[in-house]
Amino acid sequence: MLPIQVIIVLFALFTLTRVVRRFHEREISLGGFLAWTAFWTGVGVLVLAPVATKWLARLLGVGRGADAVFYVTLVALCYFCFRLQLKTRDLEHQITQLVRRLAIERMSDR
Amino acid sequence: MSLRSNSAGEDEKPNGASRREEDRQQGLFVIVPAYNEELSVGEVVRKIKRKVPNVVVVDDGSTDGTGRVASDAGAIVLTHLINRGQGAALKTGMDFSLARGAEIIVTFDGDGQHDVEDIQALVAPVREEGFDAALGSRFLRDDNRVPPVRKRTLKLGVLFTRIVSRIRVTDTHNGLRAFSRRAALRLRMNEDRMAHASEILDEIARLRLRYREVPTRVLYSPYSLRKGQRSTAALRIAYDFLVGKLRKD
Repeated sequence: MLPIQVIIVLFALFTLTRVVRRFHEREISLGGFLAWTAFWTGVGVLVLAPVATKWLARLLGVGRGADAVFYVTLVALCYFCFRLQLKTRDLEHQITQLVRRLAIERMSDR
Repeated sequence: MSLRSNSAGEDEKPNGASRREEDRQQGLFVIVPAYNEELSVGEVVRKIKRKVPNVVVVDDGSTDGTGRVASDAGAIVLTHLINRGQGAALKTGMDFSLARGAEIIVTFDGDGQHDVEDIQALVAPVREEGFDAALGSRFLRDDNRVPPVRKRTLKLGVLFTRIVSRIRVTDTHNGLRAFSRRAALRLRMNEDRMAHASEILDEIARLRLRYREVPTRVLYSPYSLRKGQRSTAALRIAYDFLVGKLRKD
């Protein structure tokens, strides 16, 4: 096994323990728990058995396994960025509601 | 807080007609969102106060003396502790005005680019003819000198609005508008920043509100042009609006 494989697998295992702990502490939902578990398990499998990427490449119609992993990762990252942006929007909106309420209440108190 | 204007006949006992007019004016609120507008907001407020008693300035987290200048000029000043954007400021002003019993709400930019004389023209369709909204349009007057780049960007905005919101207007980002109380209560305004202008039009279409466009003047000065939106912001505005619309729908 190559050193890089050991590092990535250890990192995936470490992250999986964090995912399990967060789920127990109810900080992530069941859906989030399953998605993250599937993701990091997939990372471990692909690193330990790179041949599995060939199956993914064939499925997607891409030449090389490494390319398939690259494209899938890119799409996943874009999706996460979008999710993060929506979350930020929600937070911004909540801040605005707070600022608005303060502005109106302070005026009404005068 | 003074809600009366200083008219020449203030000391005289009002007769029935002038009392009715005064009552009507009491239900009219002009909202001025302002962010670092200490150079212009005082003059804007004083001019509006000559026509309308209730002027609400929303100081949107300014770092200059905007709030103090507006207050000295006679406005009711609501203060956002941090900057939240023009859409957020308008919504704050609208919520406050509705809570104070506003029957008609006018929105008016704080940079001095609008003409106070247009307020009455905007209010008339709502008050006299039962329209839900009156929208100012700088393109319905021939004497407005809109810089070419801005004109092209705004016309693209008109096309965008026509396609996405299915509403036919001649101007999309004009800050001069009037709403009836009923309309203001129904508008869902979630866009904090500049996409609120597109959102308002989208809401008018969604709620099938009766609206009329009213020709209004626009007074571009080096100051208002500097304070205004850059044309390059149009893409960001369109993106914000579309994301917001998808989430809302």
